Amino acid sequence: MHILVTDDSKLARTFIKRELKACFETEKLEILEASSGKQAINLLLENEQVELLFLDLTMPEMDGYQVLEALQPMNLDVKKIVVSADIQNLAKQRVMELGAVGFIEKPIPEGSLRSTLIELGVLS
Amino acid sequence: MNAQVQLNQEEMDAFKEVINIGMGKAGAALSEILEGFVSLKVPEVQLLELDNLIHVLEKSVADFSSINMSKQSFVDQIRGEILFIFAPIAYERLGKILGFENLQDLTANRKSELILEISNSLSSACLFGLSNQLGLSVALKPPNMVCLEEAPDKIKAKVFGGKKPSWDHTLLIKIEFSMSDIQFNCEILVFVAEDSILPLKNALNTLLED
Repeated sequence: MHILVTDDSKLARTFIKRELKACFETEKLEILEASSGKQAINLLLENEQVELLFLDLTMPEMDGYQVLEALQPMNLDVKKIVVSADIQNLAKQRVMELGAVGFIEKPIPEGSLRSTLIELGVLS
Repeated sequence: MNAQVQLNQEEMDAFKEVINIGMGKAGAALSEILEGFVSLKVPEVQLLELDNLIHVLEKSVADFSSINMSKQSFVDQIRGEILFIFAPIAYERLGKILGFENLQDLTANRKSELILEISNSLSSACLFGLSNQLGLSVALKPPNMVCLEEAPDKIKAKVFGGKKPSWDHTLLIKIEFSMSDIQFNCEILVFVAEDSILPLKNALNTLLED
């Protein structure tokens, strides 16, 4: 499975990658990383095989909301999961309206990444 | 500069992420109190000499004709000061949301009460979010007003004219909250005391090792 993890924090990307490796165990994972919204969009366009996008909201220059807005007309076949410290209910509502299919709060509670992937049918 | 107070790139990245989580909690608290969407910017962190604080403050208030400011200390395993800088506030709108009565007769005391209530909610969510992640205890003292609807050029003396902190350096955290629908803008400047930087670094390194 090809996954793109986008966060301006290296530490946050490390936490997500670690959780992903624990979730998928034996399945071969190809994890790409982006440290900005712009880089994420470029990587998605260059790598059509990416199926899952993990996206932070609060990032410099191009934030997660802007990434979701930019992706809307592109109709890429990628599931977008927001992983954010911005835990306002209105933020969750807004990202879902912009095409995200999941929202995971930071710091990532134990088991929540796995349960989100199961809900989305990515993991069984 | 003492190397013990400097954060390397990895520690700085981790600290920003920890702050980001604290800020997110504060944003959610504000969103709940003021019933609206709060825009959050990426927090800024920098180590600076205390003598340069005045320039930071000048920059923060430069765009406003009048400002409101409150201040709060935190103590325990990490200590420092928090300054809350509020752009001119639509008090009637805020007061109504918060359930204040007699909005047409908002006295200075009532306005201060409102500002202090918001300040305390923001600092509690933010600092406790931070301390929980780092495993460092922190206690907040009650906030107090620095100024209410005053010209920015008059506030410098009020912030620094009183008891000057004993530290030479501080780790400065700058966080901004804004709500466009009610014209609410608040900037928080957190000054972490120099002697708290080492315990903070140790806690960050424990987090990085986990």
